[in-house]
Amino acid sequence: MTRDDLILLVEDNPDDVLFMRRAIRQAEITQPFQVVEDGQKAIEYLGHTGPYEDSAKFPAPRIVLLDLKLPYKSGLEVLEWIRGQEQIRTIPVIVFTTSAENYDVERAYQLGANAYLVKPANMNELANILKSFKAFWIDHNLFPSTPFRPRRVRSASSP
Amino acid sequence: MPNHLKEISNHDFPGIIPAPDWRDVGEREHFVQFYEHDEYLIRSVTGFVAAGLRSGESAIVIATETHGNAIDQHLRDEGIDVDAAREDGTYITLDASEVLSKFMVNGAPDETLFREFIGELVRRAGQNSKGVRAFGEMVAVLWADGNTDGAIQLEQLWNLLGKEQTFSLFCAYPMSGFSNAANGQPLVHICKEHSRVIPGESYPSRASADEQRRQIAFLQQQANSLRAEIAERERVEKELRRSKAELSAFVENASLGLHWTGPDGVILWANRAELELYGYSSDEYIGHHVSEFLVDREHCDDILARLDRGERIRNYETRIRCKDGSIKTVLFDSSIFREDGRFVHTQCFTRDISERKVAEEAAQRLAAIVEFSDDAIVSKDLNGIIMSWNPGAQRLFGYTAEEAIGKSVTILIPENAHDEEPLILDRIRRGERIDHYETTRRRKDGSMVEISLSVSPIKNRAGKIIGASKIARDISERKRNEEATRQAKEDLARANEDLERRVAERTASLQEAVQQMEEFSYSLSHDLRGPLRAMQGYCHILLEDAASDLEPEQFSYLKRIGDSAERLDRLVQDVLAYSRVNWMEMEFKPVETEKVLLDVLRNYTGEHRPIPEIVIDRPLLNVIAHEASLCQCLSNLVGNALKFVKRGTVPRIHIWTRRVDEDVRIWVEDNGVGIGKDQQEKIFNMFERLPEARDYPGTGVGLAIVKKAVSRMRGAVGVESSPGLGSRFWIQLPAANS
Repeated sequence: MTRDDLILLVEDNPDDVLFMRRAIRQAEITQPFQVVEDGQKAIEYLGHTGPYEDSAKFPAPRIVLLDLKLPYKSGLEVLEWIRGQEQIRTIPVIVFTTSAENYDVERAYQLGANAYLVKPANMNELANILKSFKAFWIDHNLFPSTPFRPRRVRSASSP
Repeated sequence: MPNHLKEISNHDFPGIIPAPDWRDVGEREHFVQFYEHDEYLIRSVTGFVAAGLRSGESAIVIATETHGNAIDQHLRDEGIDVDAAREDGTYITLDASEVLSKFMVNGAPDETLFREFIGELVRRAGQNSKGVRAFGEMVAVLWADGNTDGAIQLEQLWNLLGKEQTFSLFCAYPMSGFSNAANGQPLVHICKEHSRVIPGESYPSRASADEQRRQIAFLQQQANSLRAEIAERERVEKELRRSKAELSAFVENASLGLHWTGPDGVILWANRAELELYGYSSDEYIGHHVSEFLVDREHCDDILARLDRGERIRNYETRIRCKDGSIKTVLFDSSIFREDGRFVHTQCFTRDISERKVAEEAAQRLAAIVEFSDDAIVSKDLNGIIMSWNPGAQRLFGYTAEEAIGKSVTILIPENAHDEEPLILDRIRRGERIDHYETTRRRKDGSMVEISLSVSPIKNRAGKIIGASKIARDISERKRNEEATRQAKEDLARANEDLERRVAERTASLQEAVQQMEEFSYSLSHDLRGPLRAMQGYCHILLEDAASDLEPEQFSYLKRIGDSAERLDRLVQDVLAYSRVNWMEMEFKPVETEKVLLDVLRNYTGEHRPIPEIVIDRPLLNVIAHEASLCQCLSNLVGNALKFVKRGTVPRIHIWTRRVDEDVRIWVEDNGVGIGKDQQEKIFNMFERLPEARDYPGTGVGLAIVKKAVSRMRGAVGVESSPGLGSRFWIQLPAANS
């Protein structure tokens, strides 16, 4: 496991954080999770500002799971900001929200979301979604290289 | 000179001047006798011849046959033995025409032939006698033939002969031969050729010389005055002829019709103007009775009777039927032409007044129109002085005609509009008219009246503008109506504005409400559902993680908490869907029913157990709808069909479409539990759940959503069902063409 396999979860609801952690475990996702509780913190984290200045301690994530209804800055604002940052604008952002409103879906994709998932009420379903997430985004998807480090070659990761 | 001749003459012609004494005739005398009656000539010649024969002279008589015979007879009556005298050659008689033929050449006496014949005649007659007497009528014959020159030449030849031979010559001319004035000069010539002239019977031969001179003077004076009178007569005659020609040309060509009728009324003559006026030829008119042409036949008798009484007819109006059938109104002026008191003919002048009549009638009509018009009709001169004033004007303005005529129209104009009149008059002078000019005028009582004014120039025959006619109409009523209409329009406009404003306000507040509703929905989905999901989540975790540590009852309670939370979440979602259907903007367009249905079925059937049997009667007819809403409706219907089946029963769903007029009805038939008649209306209400459905999950919102969505798509929804026998739901929407 390397730091640049980090998944950033932007989620203000501690219940949802708890359910997500459980579902992640159930889905056997081994990548590290960093949770930030609001839109402002998400921007600070990604921009290495405020409490997240130390980029060694708070490495850039490989993928962002973004709730939309957030305190201080909404998820859509965070998304728009990310797509405006030269160094991180290619980071895949997956919207993960309770809203199935058309407006949100449209807007999210317009701002450059890579996927839009609706949180299920059922825990089993949540586990299933995260299993699919792992299979698609972690096991099969290729990511663009980050500005901090050349893209890791998958074969080289195995000793 | 034998006295008996004288006596005879006196005796035979009492009262007439006696003839000369024939015994006194000189032996070379050439005298001429003018006579008025043959009888007188015969007596003269007889006396002349008889006196000669008795005194032993011979006589030559060259006369017309009539005269010759008469002379013979008279000589016999005188006791002359004519036959013996003729026998011994002392009495020679010859026919004048025959003798003339002996020497006349080309109308003139030939001297040589004359001498040969007449000279020989005279010479032979003088051989055995004391002298020769000759009577010749040849000159008279020539004269009567008009050959006056020949007669005078012949007289001259006689005279020449008289110089060579001794004879006395008696010439005679009838006075009637000189009645023509042109013969005055030849008479003088004839007299010149004779040594003695014996005037006609009228001359007083036995008067004293003084008396004769007086007589001559009288005759001269008479002759002079006759000449003057003749000249005068000629002049007058010429004048008369000329003026008669002029007059008849004048009358014939007069533009006035003229005719004469006899006392019986028959037309004797008519001039060209009269014939042309009626269109008749002279044959068709003259000779006919005048009543044939009169529309009112009795007028003829009336006119004739009045004329006969000595009246002069003036301007007698009557109507004449013309050749072309038209009727002309004419005026007759008629008088009688009398001769010696006798009614010879009428003289009638005819004037055609048809046009005037028509004009008069038109003028009367116009006058009546003006008289009875409701509008005020007024005329004024160019100074604005009122010239005429109809009853309409009196009604409108209050002034009578007597009060208004002669006054200035400014009596009608309010002080503040006095400048109007000069402007109007200026325009009239320029020949312009003013139409429907709306203004205010003052009545006699000082009140104001709103009028519509039309003013037109009045022109005289020469086309000169001499005034103006004004037509004024009271428009106070109309003005009031207009004002009321305007007021009503304003009120309406204000009400409209108010309404629009209120609609806008309402719309705004509705939009606000919609906005709030949407925000509410949004927060519902987030804020309400969040805790519910948390409840579900924790129940789930507990049930999963701590199941072995829980009592069965505790496990059951936990499960109920989870189920309730789940149902509440679904309810919230359904209410959101319902409100979305209510407020959502919908765009209607043709939708492929089959495609929408297949999408719906794909969502359901994959996870449903037991696998339902679904039959679709293809092809499905397309509808006009909002696609997402149609999808929602079909989804709910199919969902119900799958849900409400008896446990363990395989759901069978049959779907088809039918055309209903302009619409399409989509049927969804199931083999479910069915719905009682009394429930069928209710099930489309919000939160309505059938008692039979208590065992089935659901919120009671699904069919309410369908009903609301279908009605918003201008359609309808319904159900046919019986408990236990399944249900047939349908939704009806406008058909898409094709």
